[in-house]
Amino acid sequence: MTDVTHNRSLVVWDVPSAIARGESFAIKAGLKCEAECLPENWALEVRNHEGSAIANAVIGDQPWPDTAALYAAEIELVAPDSEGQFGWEVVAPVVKDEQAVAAGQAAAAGDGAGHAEASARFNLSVVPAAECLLTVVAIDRESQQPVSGLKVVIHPYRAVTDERGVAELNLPKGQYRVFVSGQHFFPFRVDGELTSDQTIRAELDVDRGPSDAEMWS
Amino acid sequence: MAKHPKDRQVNPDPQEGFSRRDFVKTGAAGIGAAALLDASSAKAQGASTGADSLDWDYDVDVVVAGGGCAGLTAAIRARDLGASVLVVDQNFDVGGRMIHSGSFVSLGGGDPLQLRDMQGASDKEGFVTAEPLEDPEEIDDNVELLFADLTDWSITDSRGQNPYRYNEREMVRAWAENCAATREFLTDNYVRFGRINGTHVGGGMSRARGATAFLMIGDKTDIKAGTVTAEDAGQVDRERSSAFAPVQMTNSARTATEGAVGNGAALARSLEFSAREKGVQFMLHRCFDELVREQPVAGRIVGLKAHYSPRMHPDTGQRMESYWQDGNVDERREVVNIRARKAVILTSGGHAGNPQVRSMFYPALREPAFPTSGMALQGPHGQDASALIASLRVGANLAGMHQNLTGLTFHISTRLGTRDAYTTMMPGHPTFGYRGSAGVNVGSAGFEEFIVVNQVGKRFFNELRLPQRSGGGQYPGRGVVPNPGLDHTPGDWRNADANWVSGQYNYPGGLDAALAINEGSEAPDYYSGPIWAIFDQDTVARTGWDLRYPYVGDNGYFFQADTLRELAQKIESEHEYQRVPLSYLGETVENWNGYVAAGEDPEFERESEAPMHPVARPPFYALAIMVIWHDSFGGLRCNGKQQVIDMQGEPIPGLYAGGEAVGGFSKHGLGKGHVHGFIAGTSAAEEPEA
Repeated sequence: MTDVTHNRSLVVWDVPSAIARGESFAIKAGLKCEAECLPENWALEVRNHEGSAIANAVIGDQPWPDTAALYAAEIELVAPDSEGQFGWEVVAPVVKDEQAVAAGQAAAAGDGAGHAEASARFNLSVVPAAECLLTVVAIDRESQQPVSGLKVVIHPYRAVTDERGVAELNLPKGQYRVFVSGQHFFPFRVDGELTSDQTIRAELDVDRGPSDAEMWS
Repeated sequence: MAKHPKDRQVNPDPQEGFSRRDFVKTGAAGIGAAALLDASSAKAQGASTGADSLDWDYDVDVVVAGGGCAGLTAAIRARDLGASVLVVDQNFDVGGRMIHSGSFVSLGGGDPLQLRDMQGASDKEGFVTAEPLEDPEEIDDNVELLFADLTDWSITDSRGQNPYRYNEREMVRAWAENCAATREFLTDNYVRFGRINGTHVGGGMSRARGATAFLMIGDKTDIKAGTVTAEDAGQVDRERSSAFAPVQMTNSARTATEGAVGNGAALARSLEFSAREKGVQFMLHRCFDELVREQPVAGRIVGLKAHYSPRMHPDTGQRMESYWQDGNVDERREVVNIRARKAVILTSGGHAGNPQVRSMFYPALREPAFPTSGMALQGPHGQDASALIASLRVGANLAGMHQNLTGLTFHISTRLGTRDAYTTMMPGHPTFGYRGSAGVNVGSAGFEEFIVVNQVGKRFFNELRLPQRSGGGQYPGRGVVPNPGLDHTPGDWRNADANWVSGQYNYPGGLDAALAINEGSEAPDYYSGPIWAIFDQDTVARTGWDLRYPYVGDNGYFFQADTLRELAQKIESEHEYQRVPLSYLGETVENWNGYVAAGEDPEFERESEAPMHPVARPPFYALAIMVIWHDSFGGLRCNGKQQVIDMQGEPIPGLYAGGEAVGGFSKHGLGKGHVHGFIAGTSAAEEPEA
């Protein structure tokens, strides 16, 4: 363990972009010590927009994939019962180094010997229940072929087109701005109102790189 | 192909073609015993003291400083007219930036290629089978129209600049009159052109005038036969270039024929082969420093001084050598003095690689974090303003300095994560190591996928608009003039109508925001510092960006970290121009993720143009974004013979210049340089011997 205080960084991810009222969901939170210490039952606490502790978790002991020493936990949560934007927080409380304290090192290193508190905020978009199905069909304007793997974003809803170029989103009725975008294409955008099930055909233009005349020589 | 008058073959004797005279003195001093000059003695006898006591190491009719598009053309032309010619180039190989180019040569005025395509004919070897890409009326051109186009006062580009208004008229007139002859000259020197297809920026609004060069894929690389192997063309492995072609050559079926490949290598190697075949000599690894004039600012230019500038292989440390070596002069003394009996031709490029000089146009671009286009290929002396600096010292005048603000001079690259974001050399070309990585070309649309922060970690602009480039003024001119294409009339006041000009203005200014003073800028230079694309693992999954060697490397232009704090620390400690901590990075990302959740970017209104994506899932990444300085449009003032003009408006005897060393000619690309070289080579060869 430590004989001085190590700072830690807290990361939160996999927060759903849109969550229905009262719906259960999960997020992930990860901690990294600046000295790359192994976690020893490091605790996490989730606080809601009112500052109330609503969930707890313990960091796992295996590094998150593709990281050197970021250790993570999945935390089960329940969305608020009202719609809107909410700012929540994950906190990793101070970890006292018991061995250091026992050895009398804490006094020399200060009361904080161990691991310092870390925190990270995240945002929730709580939405009403879905009422309609919006189907988006993405087409390459030039080839007229469907395009898979494109992002469909109707804030805060998100989907990805399948091999048929199709993405389906269950949405409440209302005004929408639909974006379809992805590698090698300029974003497609259309505004409209959704009152019932609807299909949108999104024809996208290729993001052509500069020609020789434009770029080179 | 036209034969050289002397029907010379490539001669491996590096001394043939001009006489080396160790310890030759000008004037009455005569020939002395062989001796070598060292750097200190040469430096002590600079242009400011005149040439009376200077010891010459080499003696030649025409010295060409710089072996790019203008220099090679000038050298061959002067050699064709009987002069002995030595090309001095600071790099290890010949071709300048031409060899890295797309080979798009925009000429016109009724040049032979326009005439060929108007008739739907093939080239003389019968390679070209593609149908013409432009209608006959679109290439029905003449010198008067070309001249009118290139001096057109009425054009304002979408950046609000005037690409033609300030061009030097005498020089442009001569250029227009020599386009046809230059095109013929190029084809006579093994250059094969495909179909005319559009026009370069600055090449005029009225007609299509440009074409690219090609070679045919064959069993061996044989310039005379017009073939190149697939390996030399870089067609075998998408992750390898060749020593022959720094840039992988691309399919030219659309402009030439099936089996044709093209780019700057097809152009540059063809001209280089011809030059060596005709007896032009090359002294590489040699950086031109000073001109020698009879008196400090009077009399004739009689030679130049050049210092040894060996370019070493970035991995092996060995001196790199040119692809072809016949005709090379292996001279390794620190400084040599080269006498030019007829003329010196300055074709050593512009000033984009010299931050102190380019700051004359834009103080923010004194920032050394952004090197010139082609830095890795050309080395530290590429585009270093050597011609401009040396000529000013002997009394030269300047022209078109403000024209650097037009067109394509500088922009933000869509190729991220590499030290040289302009070049595209891959492993296999010896200079790849100077890039350190090939980079990831995310395209303009890719800027949706991340946030961009400055050196303190703050966003500074709508990311989507950063790579936008203003439209240039060239045929067919859609969006630039009210009556584009064949309906365009040069000099029509309607082109300059204020309502029209304001309506087509489209310069977003992202580049200027990137270069702006920020919290990390410090006196006296107030450097803006590097800029970074910041994204997460979800971005990689969405885009499929290939974040591995050779696309990214451990060169300080790409970082991966478990947390944002660690990412900021890595950037600060490992990037050569990151002078301050990215103190705001964590806060910036937290704010951004809040904007994403809210669907609204109150800082830069990104939500109106494209979806926004959080930066949340580890690991986190940073790719350097580079500002590229591309062209040099300001430079030496020249007349119609490409003679350099002094402060009194008189030609400096024996001194010529071409290409990007020259100012007052706002034309992007190779066409300018080739014709300059053709004119300068002609004029220089006709000079009387000093």
